[in-house]
Amino acid sequence: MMNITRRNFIKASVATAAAASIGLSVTPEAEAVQAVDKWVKGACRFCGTGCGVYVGVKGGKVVAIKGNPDAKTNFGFLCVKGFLAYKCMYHPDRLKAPMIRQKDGKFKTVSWDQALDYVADKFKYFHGKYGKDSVAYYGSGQCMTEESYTFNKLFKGGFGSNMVEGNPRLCMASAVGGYMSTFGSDEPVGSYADIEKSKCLFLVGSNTSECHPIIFRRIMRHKMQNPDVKIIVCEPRKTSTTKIADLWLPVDPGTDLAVFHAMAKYILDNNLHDEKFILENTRITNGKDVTDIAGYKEFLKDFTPEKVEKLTRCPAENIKKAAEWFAKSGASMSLWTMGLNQRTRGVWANNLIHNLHLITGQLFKPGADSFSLTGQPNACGGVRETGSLCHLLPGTKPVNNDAWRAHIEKEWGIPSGTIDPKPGFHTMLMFDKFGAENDASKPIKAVITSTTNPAQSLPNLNKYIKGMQDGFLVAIDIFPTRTTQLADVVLPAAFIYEKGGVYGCSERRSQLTEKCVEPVGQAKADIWIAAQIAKRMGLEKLIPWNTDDVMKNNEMAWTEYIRVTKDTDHTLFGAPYSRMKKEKAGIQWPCPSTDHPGTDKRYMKGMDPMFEHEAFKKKFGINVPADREYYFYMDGKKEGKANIFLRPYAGPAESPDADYPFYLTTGRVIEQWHTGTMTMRIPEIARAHPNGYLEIHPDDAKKYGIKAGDMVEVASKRGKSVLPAHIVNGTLPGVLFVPWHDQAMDRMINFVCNDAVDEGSKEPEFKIAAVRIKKISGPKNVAEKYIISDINSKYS
Amino acid sequence: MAKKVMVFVIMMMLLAFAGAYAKGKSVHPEKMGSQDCMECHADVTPEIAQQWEHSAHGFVGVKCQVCHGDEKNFVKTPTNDTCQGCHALQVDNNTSPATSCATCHKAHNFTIHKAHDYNPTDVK
Ligand code: SF4
Repeated sequence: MMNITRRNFIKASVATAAAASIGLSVTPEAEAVQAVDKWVKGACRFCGTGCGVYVGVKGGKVVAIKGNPDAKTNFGFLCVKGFLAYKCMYHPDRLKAPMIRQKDGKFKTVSWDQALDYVADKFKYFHGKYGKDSVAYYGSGQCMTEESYTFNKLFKGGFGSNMVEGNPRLCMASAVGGYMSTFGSDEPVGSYADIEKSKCLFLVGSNTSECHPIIFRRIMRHKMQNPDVKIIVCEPRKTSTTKIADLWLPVDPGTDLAVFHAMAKYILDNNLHDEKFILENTRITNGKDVTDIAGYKEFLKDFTPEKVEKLTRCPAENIKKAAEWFAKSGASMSLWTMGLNQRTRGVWANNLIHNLHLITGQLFKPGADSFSLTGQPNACGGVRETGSLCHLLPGTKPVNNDAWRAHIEKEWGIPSGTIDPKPGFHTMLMFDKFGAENDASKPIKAVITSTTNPAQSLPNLNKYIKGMQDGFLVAIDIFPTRTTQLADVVLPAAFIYEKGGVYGCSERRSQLTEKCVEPVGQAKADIWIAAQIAKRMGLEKLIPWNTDDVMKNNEMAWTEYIRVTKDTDHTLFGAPYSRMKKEKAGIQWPCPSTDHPGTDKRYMKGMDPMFEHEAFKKKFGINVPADREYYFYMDGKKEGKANIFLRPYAGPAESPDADYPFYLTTGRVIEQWHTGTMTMRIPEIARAHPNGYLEIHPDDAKKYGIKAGDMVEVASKRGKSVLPAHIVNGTLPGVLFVPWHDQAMDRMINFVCNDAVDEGSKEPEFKIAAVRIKKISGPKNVAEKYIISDINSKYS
Repeated sequence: MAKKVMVFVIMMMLLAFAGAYAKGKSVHPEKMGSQDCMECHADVTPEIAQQWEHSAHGFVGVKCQVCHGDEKNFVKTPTNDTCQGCHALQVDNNTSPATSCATCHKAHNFTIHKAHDYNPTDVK
């Protein structure tokens, strides 16, 4: 493995050493930075942190990127993905022309007209023969807001179908469920700015250092400058995030509900709670009946730290210390992501974190918040806020809310009763019900996907591949992927910097990216594709933004979107394109008027403009009493209170047993993004993680005779993968970890993952599977940097 | 005096040698293979690896290849174009723009900028 000798290296370093010894650096020639024609303001394409960027354009090409120092998310810093991965836009594998699969199984390049006519004809045919719900849309938290809004409108308002889903169902649905059920409205109370004011940061179910690196950078700097700030990490793995932690709460996957209850119990038993806050602002409930603090204590009586240690493997002392720090710090902030969400009890896990904040009054004050970090760059803005899921409408309001449906129908100018009050199929059900035309058990005959790769990213893939293969599948993407291998039509998409639009990140902040350059080849923006399909299906009036000027289309869609959601708790009515173009750091909703600066803290008198928003209050029948400093105005019971939920303990859907004795958990690594279709095409990034691997504890490795690099089969009841072993100390014995970016069939870990869903959020339990392992062979070089390049390659 | 001249001459020679080396095409001294840079460098340059690990770059995962590139675009000393990606303000503020950031900010434990450079603007 080591192919450099110390001697060679020392030889090469002589010059440097010589110069350094006399106090001077060796540097190349003059260092003036490369001149660009212009720097264009935008947002990073990758994670939900929402880093602001400037894109350097020269000769009509993107040639550089730099962080935007004025951005309130990143203050100019970028992680490796933001800095390097945009370069994939010029990779030779970019899809440059529409293609239709022929009878021989090969794709044929066609004109846009041919491709769009073909897709529209097929959709019309299926609609005519099998009804409005036979055609579905599966989008992404990486589409622009305008794109998600447009597809959502086309399907719900145009086709009258709620078969609209997106990959945020796989990542954020439980956080939505948590916020909606606890506070009555989706998305956090506070902002990233709380990080620097916090005195205790509770990082739970989040490998922040790899998955939200610039958020981690903020936490790290804060800790460095304020060593008294306590950092608690609660995770089965001792990830790189723990490098700055004061306390690690190791837990077996899926058992942390008990830890959160034990923390609550310790806080209440030791009188560390804020009784005044609880009485004034919360309702303690099991979902049906309301109780009081004594009732809560009674509910928690079995969750002693000692008992919980036995259940979860989290040391009782750590639980107590964490509870103490959390309650006493003066300003505690929780941050979490997939570790809580991708669970069959994801909503409950979210509720229980909110509980900790509500019982201690750790909300509203600077540095205190219960903050879900969203995974994707536009899951919040594009999908949650525009309601581009099967049960929602714009403004994150349910389709079965009669008044809101009527409002949307009026705004969209469509006859009353057009929108179906019944939710469509959630993602896992949608793909379960997708299949061949002649298969009566598969009511969904066609799916159009945008900016996502379900043929690699769904859990329990074996169950869903055939449906995608047999059904009529249209994939809008920029590269060949596992999904294009199953598709009937492939439409080449424009990259973010070739089309522009709005992204809304985790902290309710929307930022506009301007179009920087023309798309490569014949690639087109998804909004144009949606509008052209609409036009061909007689819905031109519904989606009139079908010009060849993409920024004009974007602006028309955005203008309508902010009008439709004008009087909601999510209002961005004060953020028209004219303002978004000027704002260097974007705008945080609620922002009801163009003179409003945006909102740092919600539900707080003097901070949240909705307290004085008469049209909003009238629309939703809200009365804010004058004496309430805090008011959760979307509380369904109209008391302005948040719910402290007494959720019973429940473990994961699948726990280790004699046949499958290990927990498997999966996740990301800092360099790679999701299925690696973009990041694996960047040489510097591909090198960092050229293949998937299995992290295993030394004790377990020893027991199975596994040495570093040995090839190991990991199998669940659903499927298997074969990966090289990485023996690491940083995880609990009995817990295995595999990153999920590798596209090589043998190493696609999602074949192994569990597709059991949370009954509330319908989010699958990616994070926990019971597996067994078997050594297959000695080390094998699998550092392949594998990518699917050939559009005609097979799914194998 | 003669001694001082001698020292000066030696210094100049060293610099010329160093400069000539640096100005030549940056070529990684060994074939890189497919692995992460650290797979080798943790062994062959343990001091550098450790310095990096303890630096801000190490904490936030800015690994070797982010600044030094890959086999085809390898640079021995990262240019300001690279630094600008995250440190745009500092590059803009550089009063001597023809000078490499690396001149003063030594690899790999980097002196950090003034704290006020980092204070978020919305934190009062
Ligand atoms: S932290 Fe996220 S948003 Fe920021 S540069 Fe990295 S990937 Fe992009």
